[in-house]
Amino acid sequence: MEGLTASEPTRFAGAKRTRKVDVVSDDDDAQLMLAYARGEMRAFETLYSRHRGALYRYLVRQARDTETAHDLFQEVWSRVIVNRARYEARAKFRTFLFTLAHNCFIDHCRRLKARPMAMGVDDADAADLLPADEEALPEMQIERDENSRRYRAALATLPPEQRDVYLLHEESDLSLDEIARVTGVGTETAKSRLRYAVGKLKAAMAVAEDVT
Amino acid sequence: MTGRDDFEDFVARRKPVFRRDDDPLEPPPELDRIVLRQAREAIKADEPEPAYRGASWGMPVAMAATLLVVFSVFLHLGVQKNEPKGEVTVQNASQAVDSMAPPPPPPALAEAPQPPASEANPVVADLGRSSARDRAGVKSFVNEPEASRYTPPAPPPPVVTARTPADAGRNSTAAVPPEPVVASAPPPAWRRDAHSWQAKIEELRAEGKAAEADAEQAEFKRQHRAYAGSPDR
Repeated sequence: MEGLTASEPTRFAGAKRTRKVDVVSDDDDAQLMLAYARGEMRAFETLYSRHRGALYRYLVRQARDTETAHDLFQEVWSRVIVNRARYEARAKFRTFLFTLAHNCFIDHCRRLKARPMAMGVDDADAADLLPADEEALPEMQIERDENSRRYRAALATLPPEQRDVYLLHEESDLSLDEIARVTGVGTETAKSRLRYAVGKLKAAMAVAEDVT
Repeated sequence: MTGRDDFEDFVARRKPVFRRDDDPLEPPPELDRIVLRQAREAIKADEPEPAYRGASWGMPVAMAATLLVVFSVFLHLGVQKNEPKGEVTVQNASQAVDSMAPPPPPPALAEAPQPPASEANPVVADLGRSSARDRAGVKSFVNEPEASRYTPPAPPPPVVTARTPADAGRNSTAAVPPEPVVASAPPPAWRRDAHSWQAKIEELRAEGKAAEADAEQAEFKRQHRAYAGSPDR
């Protein structure tokens, strides 16, 4: 997994942190969050089990460094926990969660900009996290690993804004409107970024396939 | 994904492009434990601490003490119920009244002119006078509760008598005729003050009526307790 390039923290550091999302929501996750705010731990456990995977994948692929992703993952959930009393069911919980994640990542990039870059390329980290599929045939496993590697490599070539929009679309299952709110841009801008991201990914994957 | 329709399908999630649905990338269990513990501690901190938490042994000790007190009370009540009590009968009551009555005066003194009741008992007489003064608006030296202590008890209420012969027949079994109470003789005149009383006792001794003198002396001591403690008497 490639780490952030030297220019990326600078570009993301200039990105806008998203303000509160003002949309009325009645989704089940919001009710669970309100229940947790009242002191029901079981509600939080349900909420966490629903979103842990998506959030983790988003952060790992944004940060491209497992240690950083772990730190950001903890930080995002800490903010969820700390803000439980102030939480209002005005937006989908998933939008709230990924807004926090987006802001945490921007803060992380700002911190990186403030200090000398020390990002090591840690391509093996994400691959190490993937459990070995013992039932799969060795050839299939090799092909799957190769596809995964090409995908990550192509993802790393995307500009941060496009990667952000693309990962939010892929990992959080948010709609374009919600992605626009999370990233603090207009819907058309988000859609445009997503279109560019998908095109570049496809091109990068095709080039990698031709090379191999 | 080359065409516009392909992208629209991708945006509408009708067509997966790159992502596998069975992406196994998950947070490690250690990370899960950290987050869940943090969430648990946060809501624990929200719970208000009890204002007072007693010792763990406080409840059993309090219950044991309560049971002991209740048992003691019941035991005490049971013992009191089993104690033999003398029956109060009319005969017992009359004997008690006889024993409390002063001895009859000697025959020689019985013929002496009896003073009025107010003079026989100076305290009562004085209280009677003070009551009269109070009624007349004069301030008394003896206050009301003190006076009521020394005034003789009120006579018992009269027995309801039957108005008709039928009532008389019905009440004849219920109304018990009162026992004749032995009326105490009015005290002699020389008992009015201590000097005349003592003079009379000395006179009786001089006449050789030692028994009567001793009885008078005992009565004198009973009424004048200050003399009872006197070493020369």
